[in-house]
Amino acid sequence: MTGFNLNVEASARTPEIRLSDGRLEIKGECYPEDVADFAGSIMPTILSSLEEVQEFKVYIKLFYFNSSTAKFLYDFFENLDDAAHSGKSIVVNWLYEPDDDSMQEAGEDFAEDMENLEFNLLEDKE
Amino acid sequence: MNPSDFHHLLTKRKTFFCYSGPLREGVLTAISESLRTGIKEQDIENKIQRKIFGIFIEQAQNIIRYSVERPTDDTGVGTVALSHRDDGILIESINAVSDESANYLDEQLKLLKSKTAVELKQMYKERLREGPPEDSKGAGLGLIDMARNSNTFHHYFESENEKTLFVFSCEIAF
Repeated sequence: MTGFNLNVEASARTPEIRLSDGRLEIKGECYPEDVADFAGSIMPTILSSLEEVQEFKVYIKLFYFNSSTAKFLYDFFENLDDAAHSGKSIVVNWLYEPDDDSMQEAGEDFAEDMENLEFNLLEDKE
Repeated sequence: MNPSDFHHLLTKRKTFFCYSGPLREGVLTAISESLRTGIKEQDIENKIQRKIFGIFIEQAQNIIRYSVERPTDDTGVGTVALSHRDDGILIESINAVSDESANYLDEQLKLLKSKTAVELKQMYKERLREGPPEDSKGAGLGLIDMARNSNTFHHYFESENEKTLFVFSCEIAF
């Protein structure tokens, strides 16, 4: 049991966030008014949790995110990639609906740039 | 113009969704849901529906951030509209911009127009890595994102009462 947990419910424009024991789940849509504000409310806890563990798993299923959120996600993945480079075991599972080309391509864009972590693109039918 | 003229105009140009006036994030949240319902009723493939919604949100957020008509700090005035075309959907936005923004938009959109899909993807990824240009309130990715998701896009500027109107339209083919 690590000391860093999050249980954030989805809002109209931000996703549900669950964090416990080195497992992070993000699900929903993300196009908040101010992504920096939203990131500031969750990232410190997530990064503290990442520091504490040797294995970190992320499950992300987004149905839509705006372009500002894309930058936020990229920076987050870079943080994870750095952690993987320093020897931690990091897995990102990027989930998308079978017919969702947009989210599949978005996942591919991120995956191509990550060098050290394991980035899996997975079809996931609800 | 009579009220019925306005109705006939929208009907004639096959506009099925239109918002014109002060836009701020709360308003956008409220109209997003009715827009979703509006798109769903159009009998369009899910993946096209997602692209339409995405372009609409980027256009609306650009109005909120960059319209120079600002009743309050967090509000920008503009118009967004969705219309049918013979073989697709047109997503349009119109708002007043500063001369500086007009130059930036003109330069960027002309550049994006000259790029292939592969080049747009490269530009998008470079911008993701490098972050926003200095004057951008967003990630600077919005225009590239819209260019990638549209089949064609056009823009022009119109001078009106010492204001410069930015007229931007993206078309998504079925």
